[in-house]
Amino acid sequence: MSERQGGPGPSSSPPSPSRALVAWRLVRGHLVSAAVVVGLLAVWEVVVAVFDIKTYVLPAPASIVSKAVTDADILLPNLRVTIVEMLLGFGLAAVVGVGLGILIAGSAVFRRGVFPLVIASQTVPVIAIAPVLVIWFGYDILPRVLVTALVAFFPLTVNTVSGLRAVDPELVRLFRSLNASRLQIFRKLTFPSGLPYIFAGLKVAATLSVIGATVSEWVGADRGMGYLIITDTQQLETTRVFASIFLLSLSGIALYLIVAGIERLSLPWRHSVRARRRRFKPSPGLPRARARAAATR
Amino acid sequence: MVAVADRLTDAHAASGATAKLELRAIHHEFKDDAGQPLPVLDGLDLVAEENQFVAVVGPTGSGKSTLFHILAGLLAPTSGGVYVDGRDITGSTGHVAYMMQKDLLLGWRRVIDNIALGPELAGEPRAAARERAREMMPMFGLGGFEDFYPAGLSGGMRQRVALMRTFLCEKSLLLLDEPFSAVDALTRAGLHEWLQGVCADFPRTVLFITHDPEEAVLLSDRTYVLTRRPAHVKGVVDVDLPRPRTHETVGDPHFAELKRQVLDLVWEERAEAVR
Repeated sequence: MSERQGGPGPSSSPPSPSRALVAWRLVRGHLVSAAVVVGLLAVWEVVVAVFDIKTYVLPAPASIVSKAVTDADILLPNLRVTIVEMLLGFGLAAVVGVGLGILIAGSAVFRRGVFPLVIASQTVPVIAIAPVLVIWFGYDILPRVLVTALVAFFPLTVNTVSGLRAVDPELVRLFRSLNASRLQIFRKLTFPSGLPYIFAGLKVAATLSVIGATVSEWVGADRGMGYLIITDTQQLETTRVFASIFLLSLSGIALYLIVAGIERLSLPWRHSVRARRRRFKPSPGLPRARARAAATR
Repeated sequence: MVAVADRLTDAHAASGATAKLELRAIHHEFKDDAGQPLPVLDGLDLVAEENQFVAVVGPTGSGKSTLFHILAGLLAPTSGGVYVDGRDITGSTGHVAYMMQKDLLLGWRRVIDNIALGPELAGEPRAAARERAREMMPMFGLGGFEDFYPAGLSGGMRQRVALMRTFLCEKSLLLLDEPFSAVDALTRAGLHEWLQGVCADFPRTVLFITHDPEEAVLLSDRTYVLTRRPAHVKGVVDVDLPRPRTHETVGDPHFAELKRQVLDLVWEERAEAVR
């Protein structure tokens, strides 16, 4: 009894590592990726110079950057158009993709009736549908947002379905034995347990929505990065094409990082588990950490 | 040891009241792949009095998990009834809180919110449920672990959390299905003493399913031994050892005698199975 009362308890709050150490860990994590990118750009620059490659075939990175700066007044307004399409398309894909996933996972009727149509929609080349959408909705932003969403929603739906169906059936039984309603089971069990899958799908959708927005401008658009790339290619403005590609890529990375950041905030248990494991690893230099680890065993 | 049927009538005649839990002639059969009936439970009778700790020992594959699902209301037996306080609850959920070998903790919830799950599902506001749970944490030896995620806990601690969650479901009956069989022997010994302390503080009627005769005798007021499939009650052993029982109880001659009675029943059943 007394043993139970005085049972194991964690010692006072763990000492937080110094700010400098945290900062260094953060930097160290990204150092390797930064080094690889810089190395590749350097090789590219050297190859273009040594083999005297024509600018309209392959411009050097330095000239691409300077082109991006000098032509900023052309590039940035077009980038803005594409980013708006990308964000709206991604948002639509997120709502429709997760919504469809929930319906398909939750209902056999939807699984049999709608899922085949969803899969069929992916076998049709989107670029073939785009002109039809233009006929239906005119030379406006709507058909381009639809094309973007059409490209991006599918992996999200598939992931949502897998995530919601991956819930431990023993847990469903536990909830049922406690008289949980269907809504409670969804809100407190199925959805949170599937959330990591949904975020994985959202990250894929984020990268796909850049592609979708760009491709959507190849048909019936008079502005945007996709439109600019097409016209620049025809005029052999290869340097500016590359500048556009870089900017598009950066936008995609930015959206991906935003989604990853929201994931971190939404799934604190995944990250703090990792943090705790690291702290619990007994290290000879830290007697307090060792004591704490022993106390919880 | 008395014959099972006599024991049941005796218990009723003596108390003159309805038992907390009563299983009456539970039969259950599944259909195998060929559509042939596969009897699993064959007229199982069992009685647990208010706040009694009842252990059920049975060989592997004796239909213990079927019994478990019937008790939890997740499965309706082919025939027979489950009664709580004399009320027929056969096939209905919400009367029993259970815990299994697998802790079934929700990885995305902190310990405190895992523990408060039962009241929360029953409609209590989350903050209130959490507050009540927080006050009780030290009594369960979990003080200080409120804000941990389950993945940060050891196996023994996770079982404690799962058990505390089961206690807080506020059901009249607790069903523990081999809750400690996945932890190591030393941790298990600690959990046995811990569980007895918890049961002394929060009296409940407990049905404890195990395959370990020693664990059954150490923890229970009464141990039922089941036959192999199709299962019914092979025999009952009343355990009248004083509490609290510790690791020292295991050395007690009376403990040894009771454990031998349970083992005799188990071996008798095995001998018949071989014949």
